Amino acid sequence: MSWQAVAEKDFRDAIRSRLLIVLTLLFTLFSAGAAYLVTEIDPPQQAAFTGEVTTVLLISGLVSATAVFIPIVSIAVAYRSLAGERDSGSLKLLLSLPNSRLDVVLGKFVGRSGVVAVALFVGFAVGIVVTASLADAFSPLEYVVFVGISMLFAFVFIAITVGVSAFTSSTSRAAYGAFGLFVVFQFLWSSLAQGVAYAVNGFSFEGIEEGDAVFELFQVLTILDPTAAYQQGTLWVVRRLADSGESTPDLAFYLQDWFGFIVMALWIVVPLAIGYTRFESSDL
Amino acid sequence: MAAIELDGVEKSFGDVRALRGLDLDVQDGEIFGFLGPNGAGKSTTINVLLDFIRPDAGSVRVLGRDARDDSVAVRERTGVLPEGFDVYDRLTAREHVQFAIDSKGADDDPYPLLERVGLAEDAGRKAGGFSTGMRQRLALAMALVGDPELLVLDEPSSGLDPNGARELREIVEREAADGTTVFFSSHILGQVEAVCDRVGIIREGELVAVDTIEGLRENVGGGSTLVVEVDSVPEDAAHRLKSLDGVSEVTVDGTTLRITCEDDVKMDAVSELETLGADVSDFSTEEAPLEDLFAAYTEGEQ
Repeated sequence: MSWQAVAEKDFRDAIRSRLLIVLTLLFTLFSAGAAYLVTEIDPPQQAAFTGEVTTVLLISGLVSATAVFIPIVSIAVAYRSLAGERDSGSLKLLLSLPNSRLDVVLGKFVGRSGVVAVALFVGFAVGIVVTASLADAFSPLEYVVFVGISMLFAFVFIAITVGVSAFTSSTSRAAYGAFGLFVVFQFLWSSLAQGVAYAVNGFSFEGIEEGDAVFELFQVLTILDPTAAYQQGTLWVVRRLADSGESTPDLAFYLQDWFGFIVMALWIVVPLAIGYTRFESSDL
Repeated sequence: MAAIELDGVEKSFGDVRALRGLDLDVQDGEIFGFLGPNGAGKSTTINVLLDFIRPDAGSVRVLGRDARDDSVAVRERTGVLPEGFDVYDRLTAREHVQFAIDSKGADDDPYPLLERVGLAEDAGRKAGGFSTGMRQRLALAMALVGDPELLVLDEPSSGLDPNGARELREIVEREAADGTTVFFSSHILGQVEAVCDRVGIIREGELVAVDTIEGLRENVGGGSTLVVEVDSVPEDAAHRLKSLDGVSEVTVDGTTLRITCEDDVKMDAVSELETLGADVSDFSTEEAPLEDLFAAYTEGEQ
């Protein structure tokens, strides 16, 4: 297995791109700015109630912003990963060497994940300083856990984008494809989930009640969205740490908040598998 | 043992039949030149060897292994200079070679390899600033990593200046002297003539000839030209000479006649001229230029 060689090469190559420097700077500004915004200007409602901005509340405020920003950074880092090498012809150099196509897909995923991890790490490191100085009750552990889950979410979008990049043969299609999926997850998914529920219920919303099968289907579909899974997973962990968790032991496993992590893991494995299968069977 | 064995290989791209039942055997340790005009199927053949594309039918074995199922094992023992490739602009020459070393699990040092291809002084430079020739040399250095048993070079001298082409030839010859099988493609016969043990000529997806250069020459036959210098060319000489058996073409330029004929009618042609009253002051034989030979195969005028 030479995926390590591919990953290392890819990391060295991509980390030197100017785009990455720009994205890192943007993310740093975003992370510091969002921390400032949430604590000083527009604190969450609970803070107004208790008069304190805690890390948990801060993260609750941040997560909906990172849910948009992280996919964009990840797509920008990864959309050229395979399609770009195909376009330029460097893929021929890569596959002339004894790298299997699986090595290439895995190596690309790991290499680009490393790149996005560096960008997020720098941004969050600055964010933590701002947060520490502004939040009334700062808890580094909760923040670090939040960073970890955000990294996982970034890897999800790296996997989706590498999968798309392996699937298509041109850079522009890879960009449109990955960005299109992002738009679906971010803006259209809940409407789609509602649409499915509507259709299953005989093209009507009448009679759907919490607890019945159609409603559960709607809930499952909702959490299958990687963005929703990220937000849910983050809140679950952070609440548990802060020990303010409203436990929900009676719900089915797929409605528990931790199920978000399973969903994220699936969104790493499935897109890579689909992209690889297509890449493996196609002519260069 | 055969280093490369293709048997009845077919490949179509849409309506275009790129390979039409190609059969090819390249022996262990030989330098094999793979010739054909652009679009004849040379790159398709090489892409099939490397599992870049998959044939529709036929079997492909490289170094005794199936080119599809055991592609990684094949590429572990093969060095490749692909055609139409690109380098990684942001990586240095040394990092490129190191990547090849890591991928092959070899324990080479990048520097001596870069030295062999004449890039020692550019080892620390990013490849994005390299000329076509330098990129070609860099890919060759990567191909040489791990002392491969087989070198596959697709149009290796494109982008190289004459000096670079000579150095490439020396590297190929040295590798072959160590027992490496070399398979390289070209659309220019002159490039393969000096180094190849055998050449194969491909046309429209089929192999039309496999032989040594001498063998091809004999096979095409009638390939030599008699050049005769006379005091004055007798009237009707061209017509009379052409009527001789074995003479295919006569051209007259001042007092020089160029007669394309088979070897055994040369003296008949000269005595025919003398019979017509010409005083032959000099005559010599020219071998058919290799390009004509190549054209004879690739344009179907055998």
